[in-house]
Amino acid sequence: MSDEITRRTFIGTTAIVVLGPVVDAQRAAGPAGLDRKTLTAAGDCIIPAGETMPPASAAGAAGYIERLAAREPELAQQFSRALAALGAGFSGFPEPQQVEALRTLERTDLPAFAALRDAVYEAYYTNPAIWPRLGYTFRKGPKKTAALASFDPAPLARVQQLPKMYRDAD
Amino acid sequence: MRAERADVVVIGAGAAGAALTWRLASRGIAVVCLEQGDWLRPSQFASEQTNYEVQLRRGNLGLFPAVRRRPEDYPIVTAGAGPTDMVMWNGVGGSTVHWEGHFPRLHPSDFRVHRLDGVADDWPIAYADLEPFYDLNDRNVGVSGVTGDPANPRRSPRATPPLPLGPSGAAVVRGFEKLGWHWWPSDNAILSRDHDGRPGCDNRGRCNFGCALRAKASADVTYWPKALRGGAKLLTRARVKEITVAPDGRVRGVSYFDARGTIHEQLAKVVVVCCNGIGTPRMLLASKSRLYPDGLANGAGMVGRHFMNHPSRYVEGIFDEPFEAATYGSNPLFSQHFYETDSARGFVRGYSLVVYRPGGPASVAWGDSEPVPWGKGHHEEMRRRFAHSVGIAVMAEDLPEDVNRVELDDKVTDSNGVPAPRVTYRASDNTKALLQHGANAARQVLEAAGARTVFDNGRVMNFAHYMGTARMGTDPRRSVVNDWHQSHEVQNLFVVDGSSFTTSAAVNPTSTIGALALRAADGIWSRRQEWG
Repeated sequence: MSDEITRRTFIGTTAIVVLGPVVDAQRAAGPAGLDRKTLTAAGDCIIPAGETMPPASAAGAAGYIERLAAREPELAQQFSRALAALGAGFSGFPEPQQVEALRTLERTDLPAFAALRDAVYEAYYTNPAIWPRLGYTFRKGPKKTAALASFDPAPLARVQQLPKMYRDAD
Repeated sequence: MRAERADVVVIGAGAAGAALTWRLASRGIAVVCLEQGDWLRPSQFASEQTNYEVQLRRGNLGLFPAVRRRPEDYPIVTAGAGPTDMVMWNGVGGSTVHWEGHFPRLHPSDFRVHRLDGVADDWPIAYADLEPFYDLNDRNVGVSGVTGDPANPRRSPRATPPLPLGPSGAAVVRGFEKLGWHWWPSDNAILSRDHDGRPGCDNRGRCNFGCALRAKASADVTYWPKALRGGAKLLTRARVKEITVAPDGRVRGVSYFDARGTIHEQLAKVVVVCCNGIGTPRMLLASKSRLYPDGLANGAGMVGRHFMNHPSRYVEGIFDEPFEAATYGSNPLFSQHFYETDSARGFVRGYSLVVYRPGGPASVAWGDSEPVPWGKGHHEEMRRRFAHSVGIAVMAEDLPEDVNRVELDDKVTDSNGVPAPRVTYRASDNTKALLQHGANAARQVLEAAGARTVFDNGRVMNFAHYMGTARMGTDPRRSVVNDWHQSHEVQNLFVVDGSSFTTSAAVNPTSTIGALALRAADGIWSRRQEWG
């Protein structure tokens, strides 16, 4: 039953739309020299399309990661290592082979893999276009945006009857 | 360049410095507070940006000075077994800008750990000495909560009712109820209704990324506006180089760098150090002179020793039922079922269990406990976890140990050349035993509450509570300041903040820091004939 409730929460719009600008799709490499095709394909293996969720590429993950790499040299090194290990032909592999290559990377160079995985997660889940599909709302600003529910004291019935639990000490 | 001599100079504009400055200024005292950081306007808070979670890893608005590297931050060298990821905000309001507003008090027994449990040292003051200042601080800050908690002495009426438990809090309550254990709605320095010119919380979450609504009581929105209206002077981007001394051994004032790196001296009758449990010993140790070659107030070698934090374990439950997606809120409830010593448990002292609401989208994916798996099952697992998880943090009492300490690093400095602090720490066997007991208890609660999965990765984490390094005491050989926060060695030097704590207790320290600061202010004021 709870599963159904959960799904209902998440199923809203079922159409997959391109989220945000998927820029520079034709470019081979971004400013940090990362291979765009490999990055895009790896991103879509890490977050593939789901029933109601778009894949990483539709959230602009590759471009995000390239911009991130351009600002963060240490991360750029990890991404480069990850993509090099996946191989130049990665984007042309059939999907099971791509997944296997990523699993091998995860096993053999976890820091590089984790950096790539976390960056894909970051690109995807900090994209506000994804949030409505999670049921997440973002309210901001100096003014109150909603009423706060009142505190319900009923659950205190038992605990407020407990005997004193602290020690006196003067 | 010298400014006019002030009555009192306060170093640091955080929870302690703000409260103390307000109290003294409201009595007509000429107070100058020097703060190495600056104001952060609410519109600048990370919480106002959609990529706020990125600040957990990089960016210049986050929790970790080592990540931010703002010019006003200072490096912190760590050694020993950790913690390595020190958290603080260097700016007006100090770390209250980033805190979550938990506002518990110490228990009466926390002030008497030696007498009651035969460990550490007793505080030179008792709960009753501090109680009126707890009340005053609560009124100034604006605390939501409800009185009647059987685990604590009865408190004065709270400013507003508690924050709602929310669906995640209500689920955890089920577990406590089933086990018959103590729990209580948390006191939070977050208004649940409009109060004292500030709006009540609207449950947008992200409290620890800064509250643009001002429902959360950071010192920049509570004490500082009142202190400045009361005539206090606050100098920002004023980084103290050292506390200066006069030939008679008394403190003369402070020398400080402005934002351009020019050195100034601010003379004062009294100097109060409020730089937190790491910054305060650093400041005292850096203030070396012919009269005080080992640093100020350090004749007994006690400055920097007995560093304590609150080691923690985080246990997370994944539930089938949907919870609120307003993430990173305050903690709705806590338990002190295992707070007081019970020798049958195999350790002394105890811990609080603190309930945490669900995390934000990226953090859930990264995993507070374990990352969400990638690949085909990713969305399914993300759906199971996002807005379906609730965490219980174990907050352990950390007993003071001589070997856990803050010193000056002999190589690393801040951007002005002031030596960086080096923190050496390891958790004791008692602390580890206590944490394991707490993690087991947290698991029991979550399972009793009906969690489908419980994550406990066994990692020892740490709350950003730094204490004990300039501690209060009656014996000048074993402490740095007396019961009024006055240095045993230097009559017109006072220290009040987390470093003043004789023991750490097992609760968030900020309400106690505020109460101590208000009490210290009254002590300084009542000794004004001695200022010279």
